[in-house]
Amino acid sequence: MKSNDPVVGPEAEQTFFADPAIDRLVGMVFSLTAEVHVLRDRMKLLEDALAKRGLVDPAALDTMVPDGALEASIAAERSALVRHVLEALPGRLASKS
Amino acid sequence: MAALTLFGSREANAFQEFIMEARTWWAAELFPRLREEYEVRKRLAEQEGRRVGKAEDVALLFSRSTLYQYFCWLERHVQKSKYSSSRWGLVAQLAREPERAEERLAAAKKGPLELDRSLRVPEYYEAHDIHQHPGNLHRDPHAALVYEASALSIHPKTKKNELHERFVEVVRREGEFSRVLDMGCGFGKSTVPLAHAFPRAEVIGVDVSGPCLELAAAEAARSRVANVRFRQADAADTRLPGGSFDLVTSTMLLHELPGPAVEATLAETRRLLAPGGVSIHLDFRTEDPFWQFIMYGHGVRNNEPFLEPLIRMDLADAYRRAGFDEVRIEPFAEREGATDPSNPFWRFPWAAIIARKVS
Repeated sequence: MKSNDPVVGPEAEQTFFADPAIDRLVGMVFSLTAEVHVLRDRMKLLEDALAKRGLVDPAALDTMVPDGALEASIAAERSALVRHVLEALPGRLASKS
Repeated sequence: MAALTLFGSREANAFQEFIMEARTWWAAELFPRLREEYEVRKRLAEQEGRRVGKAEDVALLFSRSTLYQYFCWLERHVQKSKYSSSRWGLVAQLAREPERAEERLAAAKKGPLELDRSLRVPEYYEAHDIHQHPGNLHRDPHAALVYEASALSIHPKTKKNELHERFVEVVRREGEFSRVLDMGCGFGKSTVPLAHAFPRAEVIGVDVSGPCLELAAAEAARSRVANVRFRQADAADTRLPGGSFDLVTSTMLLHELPGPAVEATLAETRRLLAPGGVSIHLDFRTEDPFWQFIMYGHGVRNNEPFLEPLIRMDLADAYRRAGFDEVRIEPFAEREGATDPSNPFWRFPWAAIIARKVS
């Protein structure tokens, strides 16, 4: 199962498509889909909690503009999201095979 | 299904739920489409006069299949994401919540556990991160918790512990046992059900992984099973007294071993059994070329290099060479109806290899 990739060497991830670019692209799509799910899960929890307390009108969220700590928090979230979605690109193993 | 509570983080749990869903979709939706494609490709090949009788013939049929490429990709990468996603993978998340792991393992200190700090894991065990588990099962002290969490999404549509409970039923059909050894016991998933099934028996689980044994002992202490204990040892050389067991079992051990280790484990199995004793090793067997092709590929995609050699091995002959007189290989259903040919879902082709030491 060791890779014979002459450039990357034994760290090269297995590939299944004729063009390994597709393998990495599917990796990004998969991670992105997971991100979307986790986000929607959190959003459902949040909206439910807020609506039960009468604190938020979900329709009003559309016009909000984040600033300060909220903006920083969203930026950190965005950074982790980018790392997660793009981590398939280098095509490297995460475990020894 | 109840919401997952593996971690304190809801986001991490939601991610792992997504992984389980993707794995189930792969097994229950994508795999049946692949099987249908196989039937069509096979028919077309046979119409052209080409015979499809071996795994290699099946590989040729799928050599230009787009569906098969996606099947392979998902098999490899759903598992990889589960373990190694930097954001919510099992390894990263467990490292973020060490107190949770420590709490689970604390009971091991009071558990029935004998570790051998001088034991060196076999070279083949050191060489591969099986199941794509980074660091394998012996390096990280929390590796067993990662493995336990990973197992949740391995057998889609099978209830938790169902496989192990059904294995115990197979064991029961072979008789009553009073001295039981469970080889390669991992975190005790089969060992503890065996101890429950034979409450008057003395049950010992052996494994080379210290972290797995610690979790096994912690769980045994937590569930107050008095007749089980765990010992760190290589199944091929347990250093336990010969003839001291009337039942020797394993589940999912043999396919992780290279050929010489399989032979040594069978010889050790026989040495440990008293005359009349029974051995039941649960593993994978299939004569169907399509399933052989699927399993050989699974071995590559899941970092299990000895899976294909085991399926190719003449096991009945290996048992005879190890000195067993009677050997039966029976299909094993991990859930009701699993072995029915009409079952469309992906599964492992389980088989119980049942052998008796007559003299």
